Amino acid sequence: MIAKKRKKCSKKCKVKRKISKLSKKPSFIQEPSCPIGVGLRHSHYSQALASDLPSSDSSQSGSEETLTQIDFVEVHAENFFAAGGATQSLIQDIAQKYPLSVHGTSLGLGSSMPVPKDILQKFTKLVNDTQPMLVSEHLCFNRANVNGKILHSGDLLPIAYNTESLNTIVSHIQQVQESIQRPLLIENLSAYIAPSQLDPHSKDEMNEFQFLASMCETAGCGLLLDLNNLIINELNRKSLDPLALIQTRLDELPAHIVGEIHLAGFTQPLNSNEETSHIAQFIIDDHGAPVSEQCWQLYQYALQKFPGTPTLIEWDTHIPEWSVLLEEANKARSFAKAFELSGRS
Amino acid sequence: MSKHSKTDSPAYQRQLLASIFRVQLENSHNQSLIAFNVYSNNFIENGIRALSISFPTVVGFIGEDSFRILAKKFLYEVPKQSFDWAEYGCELPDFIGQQDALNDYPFLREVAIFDWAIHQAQRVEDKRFLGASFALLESGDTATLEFVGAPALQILPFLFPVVELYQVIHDPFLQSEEGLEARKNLLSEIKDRISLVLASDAINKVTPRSIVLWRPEYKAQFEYISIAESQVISAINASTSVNTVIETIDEHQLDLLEWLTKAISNKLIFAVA
Repeated sequence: MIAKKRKKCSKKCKVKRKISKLSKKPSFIQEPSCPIGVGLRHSHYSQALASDLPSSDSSQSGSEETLTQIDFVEVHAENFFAAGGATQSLIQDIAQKYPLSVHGTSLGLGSSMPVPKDILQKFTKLVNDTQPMLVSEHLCFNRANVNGKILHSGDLLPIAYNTESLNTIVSHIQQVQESIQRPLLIENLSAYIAPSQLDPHSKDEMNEFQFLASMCETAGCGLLLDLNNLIINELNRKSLDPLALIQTRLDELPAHIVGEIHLAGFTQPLNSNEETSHIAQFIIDDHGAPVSEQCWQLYQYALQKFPGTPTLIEWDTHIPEWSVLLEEANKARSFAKAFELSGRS
Repeated sequence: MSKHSKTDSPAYQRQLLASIFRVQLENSHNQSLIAFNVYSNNFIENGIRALSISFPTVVGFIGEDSFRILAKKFLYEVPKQSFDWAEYGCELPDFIGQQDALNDYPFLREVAIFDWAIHQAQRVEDKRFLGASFALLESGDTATLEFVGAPALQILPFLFPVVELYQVIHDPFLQSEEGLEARKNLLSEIKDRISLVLASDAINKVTPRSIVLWRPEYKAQFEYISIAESQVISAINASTSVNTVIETIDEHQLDLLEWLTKAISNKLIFAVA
């Protein structure tokens, strides 16, 4: 019995050591060249699989660079959770054609409820089956016990930046990392409320960036830095100089924890009518427009801080033509290349 | 050290979820929570999108605007407890049946049941079709061998003409100019069957028709089948032996060879094991 226990402990310790080793020299650490990807959504599956995009290597050979290329695509994990059927075959086709980033949206790692085994199994199976270059989730909770029922919002809800939340999310991140045998990247969130607005006891004890740095160091995970989310939060807070404020905060982030950058745009709020007046005061993180000018500006700053970080264009609503998405990727690549060249000269 | 047990949630998390779902928390009278409409709006929009994917024929009949109203009501009435939006909505058919506003669509509950069955069928685990295994029917012990049904193989009874109703919405030919006459004829057939069902009473009782639903490849297939055939498939689904299935076939005076050839070529059965 004791021997069995020892054996179990030894296996667990090995996993912990492996993750700890990875977290010290993570697989997501910056490569010299900056991989550029796009979020692959349902309406683009056929085009993405049919298109014959030149590889990064071939584009570098000529003096006139062929920019129509993507280095990886991001898929939402839950779209491939079905036990069987067309999506299972589709994900294999996608994984054969592109390096993958598997982006989870349903684990709700900041929820105080345990991560359900069946959902974690599906997530792990997807990671094992597709061997993605990146695996990520969000800094959020999504479910709670309300009047005896566990209700699931299907959304990314903000958590308080305090020790209690930190302990919860670190423990859940470690559970997932043990299951998938690799470090996760955790994405910072756009939030429309502060937890203390609902419960005065849920006060923040640190700012978002301190929380993120602490979480990454303790859990051995990385950070998926969503620049659009940072901008939206500051715009919604009516900050006077959002970009300057974010840049100061980015300066505080340990560079080694940033494993991926998300770029996106948002729909400008329209004049409110009766139906929408309750949400008109907010900019909604809808990923429904080209990458915003603020986001491009911030990206150029981020490139100095976190050079070579894989960068992804997200566009989830009012989805454009595939070619438009590729143009956005090209724009990101040109910024990254320009930064690399300026660094060499 | 957390202040909460594993099954409890911190007050903030409970309150935000209650706000989104518009649930009044026990021992709480805080109505101001309803103010957090951004999340509530996200929840509703995501839910409508997910339900319209799971119930495309229902959307086709009542239109997007009415479906939005129906889905919104449903989302508040039946709280989402599943992780995956694709797993949410199995109660919608009965919910539809309770809506007076949908009385003009008496068939809609059954259409929703059919939509949900197809949606689920397209997500169930794959199986490998093992054509060579059918040789075991000659060489193996049929008392212990079983037929392995296709993924999602099931029998569904319906009073209303759901197959035809599905075709009206989804068959591209019926939407085209060339298919106009065929559409007209089909609608006439549908109307006759609906009238028959609605006129059904204790004396002139209409019995449900059986539909077999299965997934040979990635797309779910379905067709009406006889009572005899449905009993054969029920025997397969009950994991009875090949002998018992053959007895059922004999009992209903079906041609074994004909049935078996069709079942294999249509990939209604995947293997013998």
